[in-house]
Amino acid sequence: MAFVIAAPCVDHNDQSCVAACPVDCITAEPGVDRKFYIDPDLCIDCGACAIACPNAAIFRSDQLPAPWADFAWVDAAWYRDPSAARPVVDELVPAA
Amino acid sequence: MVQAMPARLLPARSTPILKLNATLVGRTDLSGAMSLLRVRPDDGVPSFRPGQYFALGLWVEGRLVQRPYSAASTSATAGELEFLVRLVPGGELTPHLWTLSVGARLRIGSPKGLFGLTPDDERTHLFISTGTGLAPFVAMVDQLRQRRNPPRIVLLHGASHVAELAFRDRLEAQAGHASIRYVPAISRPDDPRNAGWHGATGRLETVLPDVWERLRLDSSATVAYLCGSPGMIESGRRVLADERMAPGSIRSEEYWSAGTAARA
Repeated sequence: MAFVIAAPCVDHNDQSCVAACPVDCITAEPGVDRKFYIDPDLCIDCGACAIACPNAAIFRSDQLPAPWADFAWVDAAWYRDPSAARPVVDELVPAA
Repeated sequence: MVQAMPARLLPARSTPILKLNATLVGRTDLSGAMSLLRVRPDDGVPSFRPGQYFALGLWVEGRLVQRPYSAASTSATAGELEFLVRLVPGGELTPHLWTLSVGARLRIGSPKGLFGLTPDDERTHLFISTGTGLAPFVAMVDQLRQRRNPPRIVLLHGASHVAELAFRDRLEAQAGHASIRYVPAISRPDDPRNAGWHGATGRLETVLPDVWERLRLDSSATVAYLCGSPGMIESGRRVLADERMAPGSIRSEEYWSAGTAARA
């Protein structure tokens, strides 16, 4: 189980979750990524990020609202191949 | 209605993510289940505030397992950090931490957390802890003592067994100063391992009201800090509310939110 950052994060770039995470498992490439990503291999399920997020964008993976279910894949994929994950973010939340 | 996308295959992950970056330089086993670890980060001790925590981690079966621990030391401690760790049987990290000897390598993260002192707060500082929840308060007391005019400090530490009253000698020595009161309490006084204990006994709910009255604490001139299990914090808040403390003057750090965190 891990936490996942979903659509409300996209294009907001708030970093409260990054500061809150005790194991430094949230990151993004500044100027390139439209959202932050949680590494599911490192997440310890503490929920500090979800509490800190001002956009209510972070959910336990088993509690993701259905329309945002693919963000679990997005977060995991970004830590393997960011170029595979980014187009999916654009599919899920088209740029304005 | 939004349709879920077809299942996607995850790209392969090849690179090790984080490297071990610290050495265990000291270990004092207080009991069979609690240990004081001294850890030396390769890059030195970063600047941090007393009350903050660091993730300690080890590779376990190909996976980096990390858990956060509050530092008992301050930035002023040269080169090393101190952590109180409790062994959790069946836990994901602590059984492996327990096998480490001095010289072992481990992972340490960056300082995190917002639990901390308010600069220039002159109110009486009431610290309430059980078990390893004492750790951040040891660091906070050290910092408060550095002030030109330290506030009055009352430190309660509850433990099941005398052997787990970590830092007892040091805290008793500090309590020789008029402005510091250290109140260790044992919750299982009838346990043979606690033979000879003549200090306070009982659980927090019984010890705290007595201390409050005996030391004549004033709810309008006190700030309370609690650290430990969610249950202990809930009990502590209830007692403090009975003493008419305002919620805004009570700060707490829970060691794991109930039901959400992986086992230590």
